[in-house]
Amino acid sequence: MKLIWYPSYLENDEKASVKAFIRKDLAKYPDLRLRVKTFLDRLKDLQDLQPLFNSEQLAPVHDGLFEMRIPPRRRGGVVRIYYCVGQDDSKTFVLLDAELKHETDPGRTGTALKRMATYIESTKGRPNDGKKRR
Amino acid sequence: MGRNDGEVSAFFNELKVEDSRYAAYEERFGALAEFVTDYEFAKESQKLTQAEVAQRAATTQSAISRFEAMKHPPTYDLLVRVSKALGDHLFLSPFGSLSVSLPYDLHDKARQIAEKRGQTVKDLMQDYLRQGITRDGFVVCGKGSINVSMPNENLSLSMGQPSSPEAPRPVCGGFPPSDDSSNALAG
Repeated sequence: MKLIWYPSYLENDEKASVKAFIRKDLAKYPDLRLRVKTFLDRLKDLQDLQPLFNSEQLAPVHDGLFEMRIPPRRRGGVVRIYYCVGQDDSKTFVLLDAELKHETDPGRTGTALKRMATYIESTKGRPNDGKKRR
Repeated sequence: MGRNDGEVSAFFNELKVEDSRYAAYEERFGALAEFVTDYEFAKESQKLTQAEVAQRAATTQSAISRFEAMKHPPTYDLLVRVSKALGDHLFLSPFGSLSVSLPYDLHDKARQIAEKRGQTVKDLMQDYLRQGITRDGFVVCGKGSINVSMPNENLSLSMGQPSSPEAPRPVCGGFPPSDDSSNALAG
């Protein structure tokens, strides 16, 4: 799998990016930061995601939006990274938004869904638009 | 460079430069984070609770909770017992840069092939790696990619991403086709 950030040219508020979340919000949680890095490293090694869906570390959220739960359970809350599949390459994940979440239901899905729609819209009309995905 | 070559990996490298305390933390606990990540995957895949792991590991649930939280370095003994509780055993090595972990999506296939061959998975993987690395036709085929080609058998072992999207999907293998599992890891 290839992981990419939500394109910065589509986002006016860079402070609300996944990078900013990891840099600022997780600054006081080095263990969580390291867990996120390690999980993403493991994810990049995979070609078939089914094992992570089976273990519920990846889960569908809504209409093409998915989330990663890192770690799956944690007393102080888990990191949820929302992502969608790349429009040009089904083996690319676009990391849309992230949060440290305590409750069961994901919270920032509204922002993530909005970014996903913006991202999909931005890919329309590109030279490779409409090609069969690999 | 290698499989970690990419914008996300580059970002985490930047973080280490920016934040020396985090860099020190990662240097100290990087191996433990990998262990805990693999542990979580195995635990969740087997649908085990902390209490069940604790019972299997002959320890307390609070000990497992502390271990999962990575608040303190666990004892060697706990790592041994937790590994056993998940149905495997602990592996440690000072050769971190020379050791690889089989991706999760290949675990079942590797086990199946090893069983078919009457080998352990470790022996199977060492055979695959030795066959691939020592063969002729070692080719570096692009950024972040090493492709070990074996033209006579139409097999190759690849590390990293294919050099181009059009490149054929690499096949991980290298054994003479003694049975139909010779390149089954490619999936």
